[in-house]
Amino acid sequence: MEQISRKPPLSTLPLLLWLVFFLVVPCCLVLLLSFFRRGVYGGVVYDFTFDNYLRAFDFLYLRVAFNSVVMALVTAVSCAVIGFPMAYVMAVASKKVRAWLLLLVVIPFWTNFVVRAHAVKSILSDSGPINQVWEFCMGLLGSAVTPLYLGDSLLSLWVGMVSTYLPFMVIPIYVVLEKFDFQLLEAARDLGAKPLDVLLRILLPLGASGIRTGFIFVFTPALGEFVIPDMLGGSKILMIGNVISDQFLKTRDWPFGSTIALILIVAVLFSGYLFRKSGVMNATA
Amino acid sequence: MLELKKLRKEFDSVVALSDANLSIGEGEFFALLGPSGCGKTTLLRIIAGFEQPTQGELLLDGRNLLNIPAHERPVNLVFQRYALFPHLNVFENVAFGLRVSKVAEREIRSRVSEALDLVRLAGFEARSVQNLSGGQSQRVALARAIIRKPKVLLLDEPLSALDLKLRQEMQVELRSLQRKLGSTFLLVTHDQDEALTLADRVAVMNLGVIEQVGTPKEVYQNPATLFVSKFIGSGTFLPGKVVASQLSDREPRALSIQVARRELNQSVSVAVDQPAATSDQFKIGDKVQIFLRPEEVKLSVSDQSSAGNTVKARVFDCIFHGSQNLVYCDELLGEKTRWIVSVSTDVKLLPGQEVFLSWAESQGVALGAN
Repeated sequence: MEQISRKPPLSTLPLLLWLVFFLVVPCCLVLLLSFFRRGVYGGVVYDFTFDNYLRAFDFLYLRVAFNSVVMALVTAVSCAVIGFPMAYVMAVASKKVRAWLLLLVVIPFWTNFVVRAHAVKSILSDSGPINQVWEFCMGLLGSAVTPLYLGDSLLSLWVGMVSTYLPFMVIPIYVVLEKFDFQLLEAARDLGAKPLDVLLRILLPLGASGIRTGFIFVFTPALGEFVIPDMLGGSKILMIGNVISDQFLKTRDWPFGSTIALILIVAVLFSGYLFRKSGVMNATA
Repeated sequence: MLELKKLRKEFDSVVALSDANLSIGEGEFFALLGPSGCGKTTLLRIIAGFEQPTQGELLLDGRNLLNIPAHERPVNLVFQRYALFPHLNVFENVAFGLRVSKVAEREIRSRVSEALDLVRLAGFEARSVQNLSGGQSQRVALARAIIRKPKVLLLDEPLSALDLKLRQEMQVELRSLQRKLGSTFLLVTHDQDEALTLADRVAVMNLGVIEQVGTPKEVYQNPATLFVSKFIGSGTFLPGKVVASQLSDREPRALSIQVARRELNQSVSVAVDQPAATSDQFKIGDKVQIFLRPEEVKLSVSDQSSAGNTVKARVFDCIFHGSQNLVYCDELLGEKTRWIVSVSTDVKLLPGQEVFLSWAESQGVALGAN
C-alpha cells in the first residue's frame, strides 16, 4: 500500500462530520441514557444504575427478541427465495425489458411505506378483493360463504414484510448477476450437470455475494421493524421494535428504550460479525 | 460417426445454417472454417445441444442426438473464452464433469491428474483459475473438456485469444493430444492457417452454407467455389468466357475448357479436375474466373510463349515473405489484371520491370463467375 492513500483527503470531512453528529453522538447518547432512570412523569433522572439491563434480560423481552429474530430471518430467507429468480430474470432479459423490470422493482420506493402497508391490509381484509373473489367463487358453488381471515395474521405480516423488503434483496443480487458470465451455465451443462447441479454448483455460489449483501440489507431493518407488525400483525405479535417505540412514545421511559435499542444494535453488529466469519456463504468472497 | 443431415437453423427468419450435410469419421480432426457469422458456431452449438435446429437430423453412431439434452450428450465443448468456473481451482474445474456424475473420489483424483498431465499442467491443481495466463487457461479448458472422454470434442475458436507464438505451440499440442486420445475433434475457426494446419478435413462455410468439404490440400489447390478460393490463401483471378469444352473419356474424367479473354483476344486452356465437374457446369458462353495460386505461375524475364498460357506484365512490387518472395504485377494489356506470383528469394526484381507470366494447362481452376 502506498503511504499517500492512508490519509483521507479533506473532501471527506463533511461526511465525517455527518457521521459524527448523526451516528456517533446519538449512539453515545443512547449509551448514556441506558444507565439512567425514568422519572415518575417521564423524563430522565440522572442517577447511575444497571437496572435497565437487568430488566431487559427478563424472559418477556427475550421472548419478544426471539420473535423478532425469527420474523427477520423468515423475511430475509423469503426475500432471497423470491428475489433470486426475479434478479435472474432481470439479468438475462434484454436491455429494454431489463429497464422496465428495474423500474417495477424501484417504483414501490416512490410510495410512502405506511400507505403500502395500508394497501396490503386492505387487499387482505375480510372485504378486500381476494375475499370478494373467494366469496364470488363460493357463491357459484352454492356453498355457505365464510370469508378467509387473511388480515391481521402471520400471513398478512409476512406479506407486508416481504413486499416491503424484497427490493433490498433483488437489487444486490441483480448487481452481481448482471456481471455474471452466463456462458458458465452452458459450460456446466456441457460437462454433464443437471439443472439442479447447475443451480447449486455454479449459479448460487457465484451469486452468493449478492444474496449475502441482500440478506444483511433485509435482516437488519426487519429486526427493528415496528410499523408493519403494528399495522398488519394485529395485536398478536409483539416485536422488539414495537417495545422500543412504545418505551419512547407511550411509556415515556427513554432510559429503558435506550437500553433495548442498544442491545439490539450490539446484537445486530455481533450477528453481522458472526455472519462474515462463518464460512457458510463465503464461497466466492 | 457424426452425421448431419439437412440440418437447418433459422433465427427469426434469418437463415443461420442452411441444409448442412456432413459426415465426420471416427478419430478425425475436422475443421469448420469460415468468416464470422457464417454459421459455424451455430452448427457447433447445435451439436453441443445449446440450440435446437429448425429441421434436419443429427446422428452420432447412428443414434439421434437431437432429443438428448445437452448434459447427457457424449460431446464436450471447449469454449472460446474458456468459461472456467472462477470460484473453483484448477483441480475442481477439471473434476467438475466427474463430480456431477458422482464418480468416486479416488477415480476423480487419478483421472484429473491424468488429464492435467496430458495438457502439461501437472502441479497446478491448487491454483486459482483467475491467476492463470491465457495459455494455461486454455489447457485447463481442454483438460476439463476431455475428462469425460467425449466421443466428439468440440472446439470453438480455442486459440483465437492467444498470441501468435503461443497459438502455434498450442496447435502442435492440440494435434498431439488428438492423436493420443484418438477421439474425434471438431474445430471451429475463422483462421485458415489453423484449419489447414490442424485438420484432416476441412469444411469451408459461408453465409450458412457449406461450400466445400475436403482435405486441406484439396481445398487449397482445388477450391470449389469463388468464395473458397478468395477465403483461403491468395491468388490471381482471370475473368473470361468459355469458348470450348471437352470431357475426356479416360478416368479421371477431366474437363478441358478453353476460356477466351475478350479484351486480350487470347484464349487459355484449363483442365478442370474437380470431381463434380461436368460439361454442363461450363457451357459455351458461360462467364468463368480462372483462379491461379501464386506458386502455380512461372515468372520469367524472357518470352516463353511456347510454354502454353502466357501473359506479359509489369512488376508493381516485390515483397519478402519468408521462404518466398511475393511479386505483384500488372498485366500490360486489357483490364490490367493484378497478378500475385511467388518466386524464389534469389530472384531480384525491380518495380516497373517487364516480365512474362506463364502457367501450364493442368494448373489453375475454373470457377463459375457468379
